[in-house]
Amino acid sequence: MTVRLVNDVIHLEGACQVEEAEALLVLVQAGAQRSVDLTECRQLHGAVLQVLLAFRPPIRGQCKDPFIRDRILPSLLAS
Amino acid sequence: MDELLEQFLIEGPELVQQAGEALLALERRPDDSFLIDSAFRAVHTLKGSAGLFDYPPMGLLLHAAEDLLGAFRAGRRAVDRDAVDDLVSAMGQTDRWLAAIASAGTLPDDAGSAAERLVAMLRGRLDHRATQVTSAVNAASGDEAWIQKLLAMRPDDAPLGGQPMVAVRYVPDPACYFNGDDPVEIAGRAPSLIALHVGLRADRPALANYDPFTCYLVIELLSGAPLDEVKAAFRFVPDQTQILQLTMAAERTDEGQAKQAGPAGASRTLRVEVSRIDVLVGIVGELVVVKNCLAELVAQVAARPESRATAEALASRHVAIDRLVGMLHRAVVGVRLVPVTPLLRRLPRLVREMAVHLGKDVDLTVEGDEVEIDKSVLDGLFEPLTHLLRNAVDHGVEPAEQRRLVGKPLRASLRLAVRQSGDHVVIAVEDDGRGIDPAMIRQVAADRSVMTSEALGALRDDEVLDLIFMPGFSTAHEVTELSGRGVGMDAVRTMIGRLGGKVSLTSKPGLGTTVRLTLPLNLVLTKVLMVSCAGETYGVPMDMVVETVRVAADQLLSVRAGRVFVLRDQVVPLLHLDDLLHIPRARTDGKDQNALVIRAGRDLIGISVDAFGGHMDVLLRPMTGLLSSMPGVLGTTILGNGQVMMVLDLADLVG
Repeated sequence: MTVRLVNDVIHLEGACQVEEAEALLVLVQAGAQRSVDLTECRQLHGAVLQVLLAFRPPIRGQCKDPFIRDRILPSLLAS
Repeated sequence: MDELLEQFLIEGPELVQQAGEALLALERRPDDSFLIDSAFRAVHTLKGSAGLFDYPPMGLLLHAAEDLLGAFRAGRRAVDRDAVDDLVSAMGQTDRWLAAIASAGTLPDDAGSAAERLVAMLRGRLDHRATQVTSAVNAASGDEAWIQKLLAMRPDDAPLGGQPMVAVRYVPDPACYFNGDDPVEIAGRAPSLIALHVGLRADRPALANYDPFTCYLVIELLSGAPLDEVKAAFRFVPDQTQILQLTMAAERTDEGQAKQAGPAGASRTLRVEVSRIDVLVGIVGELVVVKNCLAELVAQVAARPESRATAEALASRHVAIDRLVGMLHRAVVGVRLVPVTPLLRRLPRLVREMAVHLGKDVDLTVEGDEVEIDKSVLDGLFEPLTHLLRNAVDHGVEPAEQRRLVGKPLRASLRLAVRQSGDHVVIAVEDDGRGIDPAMIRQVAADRSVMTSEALGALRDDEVLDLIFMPGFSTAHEVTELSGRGVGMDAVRTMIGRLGGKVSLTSKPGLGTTVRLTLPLNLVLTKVLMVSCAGETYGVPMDMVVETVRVAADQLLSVRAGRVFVLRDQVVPLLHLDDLLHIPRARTDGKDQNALVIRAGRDLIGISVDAFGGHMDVLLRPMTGLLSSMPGVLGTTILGNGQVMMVLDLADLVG
């Protein structure tokens, strides 16, 4: 399980594959105030990233994976 | 104060100045690399100096400003008006902080939040920029905005200068997820990645119809690898990618040059504290007084027949001393003359800030850099000038829409011209705004019962304009944050009056308003009559005194609560100086009175004093600080024995 909801925070963990996109979409659509924690995320499939880009939930956590942290997060955080 | 800090407080404003000037000029010549360098170096030096002291907000702000200027310099960021505006605000803030440090020794409490706001603004200018670096980029074809965006994203430590780069725009097939493609993973394989941006296609459906398995991604990236290697990374999706070779114009990487920057080199000047010069001015002033006494001595000696030869010798020496003291006086007073340039240079930035704040477009031209004026006059000018410029920007200049309707250029122009005219300096502040309508002034004056309608009707239009200077008279329909409440033109007239100057105003409705300040070029010697009252000696300017009289007790007549005497068929009321000064003491009713007769408007007024002293030439120092608003006092002067004597403004005391 790589998409978990804990106290209104959606945790993306490990390698998030294309099929995770739907699970994430459901969680994000159900609660607009939910934020997404990327701390433990190692890989982010384009489809998952696309959900984050489309719905813009608040992003938390400094991702440990350097590619995601340095290359992907800036696009997510830019308005 | 710490010597280093003292130096910083002297150099700081100069550097802010340098940066500010360069920035304003940059707006007209955005391609001038010299201007960018100049601003960059000034900010760089400032940042370095600020780092020596414990002012973190200032350091952060200057750092952000330096980064943005650095980006201009490296061609990573095009110069545009918004960015320049923000930099100008940053400089304005730095200037205010320097002033706060100089006066309070520390930054104001809100410095942290102010810095945060400005830093965010500057960083914002650095980060997302749809603006151009076109001159630096030679892309093969197509819309280059996305390339500019990527270039802007490059981290500061990215390889610079002349190095080839490849830009890739990758728009995956909407069905790619079903094909097992992960566009993020493909993009991640690009070699020597410099910048990466992931966004969504503009033609994506609304969120309500969001399909998690249709790809809407747009991936743009910049690579430092050769074109072939980049092409190889995207070899499976050639139909979905646009790959462009970029050649960057060589960038200047002259960070080292900035280190040499400092305050402008060896001009042949010496910084002397104003207080030391004031001591000199004081001594010369006293010398003038002593020299004046010699004249009397010469006359006494000449009166004795037996010492005629001595008297002649003495007289010729007196003439020589007279001449030399005069020269010395002019020379020393001349030292206090400083160019108006530093003051004038602060103004364009200030006007810019006001204009931005009010959402107006205003250009200030400043003339008369070469004019010199006394230091204390100059110091007292900033506030009233600021106020006049604010008024012009806020109330004079019409909103853009209104200007367009009447066919004026959208950008309003403000002109501030300084010129010397004999012993005076005339400063004109001119705007091309809506002007002042005398009818409106009449209306407001009538509404506020400033004067009776008959009196109002008798005034000519130019006299009506003068009503603006009446205390509390404010015609702006709405009070803006900028111009504030309760500070009107009367404050300007008071401030200028304190400097020994005058204010006048002319206006052409629809065409603009000109305010003219006439100020003394330097502090001049004032001839005063000394009078004593309740044990104190006061000075009264001779030109205020019509005559001095002795009024016998039986000449005084009581009229209601007051007393009057008759002077050459004119009835003159008699006031007491101690009453006017609120000094309690025993009444001397029933005795003869020494009285000064002064003119107040058309009437004569007698003011009784205990005794008259001699008269002397004094150097009048305007009251400063807390005392500056004290009514009835023109200034102070220091007597030969070191005592301070107040010079009274009798007209003000009586009025």
